[in-house]
Amino acid sequence: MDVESEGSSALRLIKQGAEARIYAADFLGRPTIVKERFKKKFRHNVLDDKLRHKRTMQEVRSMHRCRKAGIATPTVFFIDSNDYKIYMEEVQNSITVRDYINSLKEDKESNLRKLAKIIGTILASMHNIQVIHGDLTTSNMLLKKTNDIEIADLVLIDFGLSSISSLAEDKGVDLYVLERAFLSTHPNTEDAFKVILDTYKTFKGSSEALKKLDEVRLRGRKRTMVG
Amino acid sequence: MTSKIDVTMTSSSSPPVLGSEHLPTGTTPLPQWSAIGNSPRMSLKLNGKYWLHIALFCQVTNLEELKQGLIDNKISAAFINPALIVGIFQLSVAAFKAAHLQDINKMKTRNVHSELLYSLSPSKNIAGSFKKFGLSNDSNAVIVAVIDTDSEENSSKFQMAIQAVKGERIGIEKINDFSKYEDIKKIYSITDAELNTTDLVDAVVNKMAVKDA
Ligand SMILES: Nc1ncnc2c1ncn2[C@@H]1O[C@H](COP(=O)(O)OP(=O)(O)O)[C@@H](O)[C@H]1O
Ligand SMILES: [Mg+2]
Repeated sequence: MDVESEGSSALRLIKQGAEARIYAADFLGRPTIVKERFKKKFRHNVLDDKLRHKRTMQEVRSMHRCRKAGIATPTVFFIDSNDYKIYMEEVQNSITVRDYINSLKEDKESNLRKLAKIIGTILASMHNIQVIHGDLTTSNMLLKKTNDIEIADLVLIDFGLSSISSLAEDKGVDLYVLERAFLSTHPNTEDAFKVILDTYKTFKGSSEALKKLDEVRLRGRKRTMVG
Repeated sequence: MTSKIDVTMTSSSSPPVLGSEHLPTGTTPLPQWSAIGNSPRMSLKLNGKYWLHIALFCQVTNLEELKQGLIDNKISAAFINPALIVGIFQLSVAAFKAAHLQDINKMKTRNVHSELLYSLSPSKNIAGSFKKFGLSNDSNAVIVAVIDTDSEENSSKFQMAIQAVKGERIGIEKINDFSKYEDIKKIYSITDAELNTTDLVDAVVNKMAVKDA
């Protein structure tokens, strides 16, 4: 484990991704996750700075926009804009939706259905405020607890690729990204995914995005057929 | 595309009740309470280098004198109106940011203590931030906050600042007695929807942080 003495307390590296390092730390008494977008040596310096800056700021802005609409996201404590670090609340005792689904045993079907309804509602709510997440996967959703889950227990994270758009096309693609990730990560969950879309559908304004989802699927299929 | 979409979140958890339960929950190991005589004070370590020393006063009678002391650089401290403060965490985050910006030479204001006030504010208007978060004629309660490399006993800045205040020093745990929750929600533009998923001090700190985003 990498220990780097800096800031409020030592940063303990817990995950090294392609774009960002995730550290755990204590920040002024609060358990904290520090997400650092590190320098990419192969990228041109100026471009690299711009990209790191843009993704860091976009992540924080979209998290804030979601929060204001009642969608749970980690509290941002501090942005270190020199090093492109976001200090945010560590969601305590949380597990990713991915791990949650993989852990389901008894009552799998009913728990999946409940989860799917929550995801569908949150996505509709998020698209309603024109936030396009950009990287919807079951690893980018955290659950605060695993029993009697409700809407406030699902925390959305990883908004670095997010954007603001009212276009049905962008919402459709957002759903498509999730569909691909969901079904490939969790085999035999077609029914659950359908519940996500059915729930999403019950909200006003969703039909255009779902129509676009159909179109994007078709395009995707054509593309894979061509190779 | 202007069709108004109406998505109602149906969370069964009720909004948090505003009150002292909004004090940060995770701060147990850090604040070091020290009751000296009947003048309880508090200090906490911001990072490896800086301390934050805090004292709370009520019935302060020399606000004008304190203002002048800041202008003349005789006092090195932040005097904060407690009305817009929900918890120590809010103060320590603002102080951390001020100290950080001082160290990398990126402060937007004159000194680390004015930067603390500015960091508390959700707005980029510096003069307006001082007016809202600094000494106010509407309140005779004052939080004294000092960022220093010296610990409490050795901090001459802190000792001078608290000696300058003519008023009654009270325990910092009374900080929430002065919080004006409706004003806080308004100034930090906090929605009731947000308070369904987070508590007030987190909503405030989040808003402080996103100011630069
Ligand atoms: N605020 C947080 N609280 C708890 N765990 C988190 C938090 N943020 C990230 N994580 C954990 O770190 C992982 C990676 O974080 P993420 O923001 O998705 O970065 P990446 O871009 O590397 O995917 C998440 O899947 C989750 O397990
Ligand atoms: Mg991720």
